[in-house]
Amino acid sequence: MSSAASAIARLIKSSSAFNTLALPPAVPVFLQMSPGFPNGDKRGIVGLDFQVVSGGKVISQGKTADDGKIDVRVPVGGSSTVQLMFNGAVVASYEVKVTADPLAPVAAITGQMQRLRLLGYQIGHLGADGDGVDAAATAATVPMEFERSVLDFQADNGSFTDASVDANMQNLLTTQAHG
Amino acid sequence: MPEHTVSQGECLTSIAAQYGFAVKTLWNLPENANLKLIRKDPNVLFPGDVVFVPEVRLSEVSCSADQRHTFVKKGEPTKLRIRLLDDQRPRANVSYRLQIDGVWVNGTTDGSGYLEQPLSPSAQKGLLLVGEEATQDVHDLDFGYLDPIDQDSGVARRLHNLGYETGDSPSEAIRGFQRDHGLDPKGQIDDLTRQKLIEVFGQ
Repeated sequence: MSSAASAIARLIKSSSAFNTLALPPAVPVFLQMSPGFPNGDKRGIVGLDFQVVSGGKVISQGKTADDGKIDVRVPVGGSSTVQLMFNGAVVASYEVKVTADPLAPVAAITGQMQRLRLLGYQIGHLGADGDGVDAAATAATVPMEFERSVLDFQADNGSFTDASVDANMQNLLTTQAHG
Repeated sequence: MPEHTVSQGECLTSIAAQYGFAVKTLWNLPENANLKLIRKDPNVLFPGDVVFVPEVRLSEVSCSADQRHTFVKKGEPTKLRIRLLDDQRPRANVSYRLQIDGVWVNGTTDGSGYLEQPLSPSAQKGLLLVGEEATQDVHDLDFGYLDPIDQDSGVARRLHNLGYETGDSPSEAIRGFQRDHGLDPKGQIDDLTRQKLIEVFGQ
């Protein structure tokens, strides 16, 4: 039952039955050389070999598109791992999982950290995983890296103000990080 | 009385081929009436099922000497038929490469997303690569591994092939399937969901 291969029934010639293989839903992921929204400005990492692994099996393989995009197929109720390859060896891997509420609200600092990190901005190394996302972050405790990444994000979007995250910037963060 | 106990990967077609019978002959034997009643589909048996296999009768044919005689083995040609879907739509006219027990064939799905290839009853393993563009989808195939729908594994394998994974939490996969097919998404398997799974999967 745990076999990740697809069970297929043999059919006698006269049978009208069939087997179905449906691709799991696609989650678009963009691989970029620099932080920011994938807007066609040549930030994408083009032609990089990758494979997607789910349930211990390779379910797709190929090269990244012109904008660095990979349509990662993630089974409902399961997860997939994107493996980036160089000369046939895995050089990086990212797990992709679809859940109902994956991110904290964008009005919360934790939610802003998660989205800035998704977009590739350097937000320091706080938090349980050391990835800069601090579940207990407050305005008083945010590190300098976070404020700097907010300024970077604002500069990239043509609105250089201060390191505060207003409603307009919250909208931008949401649309750019996950549409 | 010779009996054959079904193991994983076997179906009536492979068993019939192994003993030299036609599928229909075995399926319609009165000794197998009970099996037929329970399983309904000769290609979807469950490991542990017992199939009654009669002794092979010796048939005598008188032939004259010094002449060539042709005997045709009665056999049931089997086939592989798979419908490819993406987002519930058929993947029509896409090219594929299929490896069956080490031998490659190339083909293209028809306008409704079906691929059909002859398949030996004893074929075990397949590898299906779909698409010629930058990304290829890879499917490992286990022939004859489909279990009956009244078994948990029969539900799990059909869900897997349709893009739902029951490994971590079956309820999430079942709920997803129910939601996508207009059923009450309660996350538990019931007869209506089983029926829908058979309809969508194809058997």
